Amino acid sequence: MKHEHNGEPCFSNHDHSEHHKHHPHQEVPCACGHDHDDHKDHEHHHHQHPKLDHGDLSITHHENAIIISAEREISGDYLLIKDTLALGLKELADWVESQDGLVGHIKGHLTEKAKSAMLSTTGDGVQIKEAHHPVVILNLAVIVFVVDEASLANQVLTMIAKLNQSKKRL
Amino acid sequence: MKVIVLGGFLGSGKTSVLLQLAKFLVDRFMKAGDTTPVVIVENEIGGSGVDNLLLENQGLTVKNLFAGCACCTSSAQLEDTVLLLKKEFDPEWLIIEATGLAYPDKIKQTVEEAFGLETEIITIVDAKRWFRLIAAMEPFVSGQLENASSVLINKIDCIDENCLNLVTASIRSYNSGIPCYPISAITKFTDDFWGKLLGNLLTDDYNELKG
Repeated sequence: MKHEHNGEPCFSNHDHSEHHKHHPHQEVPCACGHDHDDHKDHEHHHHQHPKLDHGDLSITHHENAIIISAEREISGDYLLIKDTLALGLKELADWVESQDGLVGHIKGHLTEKAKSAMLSTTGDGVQIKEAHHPVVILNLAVIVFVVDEASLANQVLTMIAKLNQSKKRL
Repeated sequence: MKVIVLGGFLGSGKTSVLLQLAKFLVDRFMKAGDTTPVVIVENEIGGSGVDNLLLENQGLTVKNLFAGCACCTSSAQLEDTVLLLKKEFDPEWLIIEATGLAYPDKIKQTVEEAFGLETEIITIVDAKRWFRLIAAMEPFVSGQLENASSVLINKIDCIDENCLNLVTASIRSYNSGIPCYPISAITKFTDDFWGKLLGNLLTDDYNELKG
């Protein structure tokens, strides 16, 4: 059933009478302030609910996009992780296409954090404890359309797992 | 304070354009002292950002607006953010990078109605994916062109001239007469390009500085 949203057609193609099946709150209470018993007045297009985590991925929806965000600290060599991520992002995009989905964007950002130091004093002098451990911080943002959410989350988790394993191939 | 909303679908190249635009404005409008001529509002639909990290690493002043869309779910936060930035930095330029799922016109309306600030929309289009996106979600993608001052047709390095002409004609079928500028955001834009694009927004201050 297609119907109008604010004068514009909905391109999500899902049955809006089944809305609560698509956006289950499950045992998580919804704090959005909308009256969910009165769906007719509900602006579906402009409405976001955090979903239950798949692993520790953050998964939300907007329009009919699936939005996955993740942050990770990965121990290992920056260049190796960068190369593995580049391969992983391409594989993820190819997977979306193979499912007849549409890639909005898939982005990752890597920050190397190799050195850290703790400095402390009780007044007599300053003690410095330094550590050298290559750690890379990954920020990931995936926005795609028209794919199965659970399968997409699994693909993302698999990609991240490969990053964790990449150091073992050194 | 002048406001520019950079809109356009996911992956169209908004952040690449923003990097160059912000550098151009910072270079031209930086004055002596600790003033901040350009502040960026980075809106991300997801719970954490990626583009903001890139922008911050370039030394730009960025305020993040995450986990919602400034055109709808986060419009109230946008008002608060603009007010805060005006008080804290009072920049000459505020650039709002919309999410790829936003209607830029709604952001313009929010800013103009709340603050009466002159606001222009520059919409960036991915020439390579234009027809695929139009086929999949025409009302949404064409809606991003509404009330835009100009359109940057990006990624022309990936298409031929015939395709560029078709994309331009398609864009103008939704917004007739809109200025369209073919670009490749991976190459450096000239000052003349920015002069043409920003037109009236570049005031006498700019001409004096350029002088």
